[in-house]
Amino acid sequence: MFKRIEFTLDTLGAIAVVLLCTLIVVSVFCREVLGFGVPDSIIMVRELMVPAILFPLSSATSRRAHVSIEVIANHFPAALNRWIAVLAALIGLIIVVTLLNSGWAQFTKNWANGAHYGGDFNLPKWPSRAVFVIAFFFVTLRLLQTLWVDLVAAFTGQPAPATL
Amino acid sequence: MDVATIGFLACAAVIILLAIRVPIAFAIGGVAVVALFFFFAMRTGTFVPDRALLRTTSVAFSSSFDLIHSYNLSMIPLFIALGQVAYKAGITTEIYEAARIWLVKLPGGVAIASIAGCGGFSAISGSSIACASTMGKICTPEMLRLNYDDRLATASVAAGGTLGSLIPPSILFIIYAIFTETSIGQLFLAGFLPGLISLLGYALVVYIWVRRSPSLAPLSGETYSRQEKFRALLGAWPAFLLFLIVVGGIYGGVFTATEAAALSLMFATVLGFARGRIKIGDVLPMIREVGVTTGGIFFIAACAKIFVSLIALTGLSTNLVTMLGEANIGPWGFMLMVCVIYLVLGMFLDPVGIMVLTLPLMIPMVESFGFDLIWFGVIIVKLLEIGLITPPVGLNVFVLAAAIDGQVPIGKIFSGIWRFLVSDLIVLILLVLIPGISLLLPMSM
Repeated sequence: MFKRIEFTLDTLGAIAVVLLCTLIVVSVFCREVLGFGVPDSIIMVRELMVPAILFPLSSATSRRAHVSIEVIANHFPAALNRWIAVLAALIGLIIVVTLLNSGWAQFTKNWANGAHYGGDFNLPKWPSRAVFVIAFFFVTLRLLQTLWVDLVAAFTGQPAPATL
Repeated sequence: MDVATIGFLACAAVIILLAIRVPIAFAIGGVAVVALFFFFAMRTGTFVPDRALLRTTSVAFSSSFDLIHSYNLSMIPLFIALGQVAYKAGITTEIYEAARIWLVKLPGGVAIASIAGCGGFSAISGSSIACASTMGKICTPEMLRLNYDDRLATASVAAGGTLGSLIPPSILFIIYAIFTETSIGQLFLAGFLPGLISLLGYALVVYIWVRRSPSLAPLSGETYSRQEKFRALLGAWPAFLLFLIVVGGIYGGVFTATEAAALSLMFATVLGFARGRIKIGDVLPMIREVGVTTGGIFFIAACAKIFVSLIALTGLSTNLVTMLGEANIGPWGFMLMVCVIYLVLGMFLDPVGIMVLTLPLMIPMVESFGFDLIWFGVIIVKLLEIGLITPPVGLNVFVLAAAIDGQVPIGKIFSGIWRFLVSDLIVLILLVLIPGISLLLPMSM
């Protein structure tokens, strides 16, 4: 279930990268060759950046792909490292839940007051905030799962799985 | 507790958490959020958690969202994708082949060609690690097949891979630009000559090394006519064109760096389709992998932006500048301190982590000495490059070892690295003493 959702999120993120690349190329072509710009292209690229960057984060979390420094911790006993993994997941949850909470507040505010960007299309602001919330919702779920798996590993003394 | 103490404690907490293997993004972001909460809660002298919660979440959202919701930074996923697509489309191999055919008769010619190939790959991709990984798959097996010494075959590519951060485009320059609010285009141009000098330095190291011990790199019996050499050079036209789009476009003021990234990626993809090396079905899986890499980099940067807000609010950097003024170490003493700090950090931390952790504190001090931020950016990236090949964590060495499936032990790769480190240190001294090397191109814009 999780894997399928993350595959979908990763694919949507990849589509966003393809779209923003295409949008920039079309915009340059129109400006240099046809003599006019694509309206609101900068706003649209900025909006596409949010899914492009944030949707793959859940996958990265499930692969435990967040960069960390191994040098010193490699000398710690395995049992201590299992508890450090629990602490890492807890600290990760502090930042991720804060972002989820603040993203939700921003989304509801923008949805309620119909906030939009200036420009030709008056594009609404809520879609990128919604994407922000969706992305961090799934990262939070993955981190909760990580916390559970690492807690079990710490209590049982068994190594935690490398990926979820 | 005064606000500066909150800032100092937050820095100490981050260092401890990083040391015990808490992921960089979690450590910086988690500590920043908690410290911001205490900062806002105790601001009026009495503890008011309700108001603090709202303010903290607001700062956390605006700092991180503004970073991600950026037009200019869309070049990061585009340049990372370009590296992948260029490899799939065969562009990377052509650069190496052209260099190999031209240089094969030199002592250690294939190793020099590998370094030149790394330089070429660096000119179309912005990541040192991607450069070491990609070129490691192409060049090192070829050198090992030709009975090159293991140390030479690996160390030359690990060192050459570091060019990815200096020769434009460069992810590190983009991240530096975010935190210092300097021009990405100017930083790209500033990195070009230092990158070229580093490349020549590495080539010289190989030349001298092999001249002194010819058995390390048996001369190949292959000979190529002038016609074949020019044909190989012409065969690498896509790489030249991509470089022209990126550097020529920015230098000539035709494109912004973001537009150059999009155009290059589109061109490389279309070329891959035309050559039949990339199929429609390959595009999304390729970009999906790019997404995971890019997401990780941005998450660190977004958390660092929250930390930067904390540093600004607590006035920590101002305190450090004052302390520095009182210490009376002078500009050159400061530069020496910077070099030592970054070289030591480079031995243990990854470059993005070092940058986001140190720049918020470092830049006000740099400005207080009146240093040029573009020049300082080049020095920082060069120092971070050196960190990529210094033990015990030299990331490029580990990436290369993985790319060649552990055919050469890590220790052996490191034993070949020190010669390249000597060259790097000489180049670093030149860059520090002669800022014109870095500033010549951006000043002539």
